[in-house]
Amino acid sequence: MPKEATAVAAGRALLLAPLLTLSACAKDASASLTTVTSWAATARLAGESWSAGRVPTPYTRRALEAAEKGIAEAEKDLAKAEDLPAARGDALRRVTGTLRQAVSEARAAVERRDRGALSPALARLAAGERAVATARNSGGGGR
Amino acid sequence: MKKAQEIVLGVVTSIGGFLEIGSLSTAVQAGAAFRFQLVWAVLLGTLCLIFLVEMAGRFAAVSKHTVTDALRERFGFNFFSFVFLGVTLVDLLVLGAEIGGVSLALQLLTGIALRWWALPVGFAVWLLLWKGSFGMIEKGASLLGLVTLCLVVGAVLLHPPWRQVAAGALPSLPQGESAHYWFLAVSILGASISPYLFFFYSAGAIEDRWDESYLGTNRAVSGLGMSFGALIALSALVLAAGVFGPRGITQLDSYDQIALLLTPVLGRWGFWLFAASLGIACFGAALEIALEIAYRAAQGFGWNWGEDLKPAEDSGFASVYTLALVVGVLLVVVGLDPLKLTVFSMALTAATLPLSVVPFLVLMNDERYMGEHRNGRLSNAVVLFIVALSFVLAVVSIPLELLGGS
Repeated sequence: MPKEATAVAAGRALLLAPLLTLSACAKDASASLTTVTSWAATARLAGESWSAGRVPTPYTRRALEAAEKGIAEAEKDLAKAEDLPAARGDALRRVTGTLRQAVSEARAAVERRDRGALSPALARLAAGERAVATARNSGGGGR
Repeated sequence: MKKAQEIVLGVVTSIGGFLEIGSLSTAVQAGAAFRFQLVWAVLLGTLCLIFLVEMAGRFAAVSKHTVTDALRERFGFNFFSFVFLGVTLVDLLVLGAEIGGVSLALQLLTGIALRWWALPVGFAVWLLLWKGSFGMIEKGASLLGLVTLCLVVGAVLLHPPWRQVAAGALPSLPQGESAHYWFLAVSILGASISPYLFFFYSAGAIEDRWDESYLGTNRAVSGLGMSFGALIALSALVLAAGVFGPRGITQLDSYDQIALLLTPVLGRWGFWLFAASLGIACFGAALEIALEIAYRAAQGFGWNWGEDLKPAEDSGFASVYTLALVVGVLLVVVGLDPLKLTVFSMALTAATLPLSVVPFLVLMNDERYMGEHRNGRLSNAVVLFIVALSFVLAVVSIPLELLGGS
């Protein structure tokens, strides 16, 4: 690792250590689903805004990247959630996996500046969001 | 006529100078997660700030002391050093958050990652402090900050349910996620009652050579300026409640999400106006915080100080803002998440409020400094109540939020 990167990593670790230690506890399923829903909806809003020419491409690409990462982290938290029966957990992870995939497709479409390919990805995102909401309302990780 | 002009200019600069990254991001997070339920926190914080800013101006005009040099004179060097250390540490975090805010605005505008912007932004702030005058910094940055009024325009165009907004002025308990609710309330209070604002105001009153004839101007500027400023923070909350909440964006983990605040309402202009508002508001705040840290050090340690002096005439003062900017830039360069840095520094501000506010209240009640203009019971009671409430909420909610409780 280059010296500069090592110094940056060390500095970040030093500053973040107290926060990370305290926030290391596993999130409950409801919190993870809120994260997933929020990032999926953000990705959809960013995609729709890009389609309408309201936001620039570099921003949209970055926002979709952040959304993909945010959903992936929430998926990991969901896997560790202790308040979720195994079968329900599997079903929810399938939905969140679909959402992550849809965000990834949306990002690829934005990178190619292909508005036509973006629409189906956004439609899948909307369907995934509805599926998560249904799962929550039927007791999947609701508090 | 001159006084009327000063009031207008003072109010305008207060409006432009009110919004910074803390008040913007905490208000937006509150609106997205709890709709209008945390309007009361913005109002309570603003009420406390109006009292504190009025006191800081009155103190400078009557005693001809800045709050800092009076703190050292009245309580001694050891106590002053303790307050200095605590408040400065929190201010450095807030400075890092503001530099992060400007860098983020530049990232939105150019697509170049924010870490690359931290150093140029820090240098630009330093250069303005090094070369600029107090008037230019105070009025220039604040006048440019009027671009943040686009948030008010956006909130009005959204046609929110005003009755529900008004109902949020009364505190109510959340239906879930209570730890997050109280943590956000604390962060909003910390963002509104930032001690740097009233310390800076007091130093500015000395720089502008205020005397007792300015007491009326001071009351008008603090009351009207801070109230209009709070209107901008409230607009951000209303926008988030109307734009993010209904779309299911209730948890904001990144500025990439917050950047979409105005787009659904103002279209293409919304994105660029948001970036401009964020950048200008944070740049102005970074100037003020760096200056305020230098004022506090120079006034407390008895060095020459004054933004209108040349750096060679107040080298200690200039060295302090230079060092503060280096620390602020480093916080961004090492990759701290700007949103987390902002929200936690605001909550820490609330937790450390008694450290700066209680000794200030003692000064405001000291006849030797204030004579017949010392505080009344109402001012003391309002400020003490809000500061005590902020402190208790901070002590309880910060650990709960860190532990992910609810």
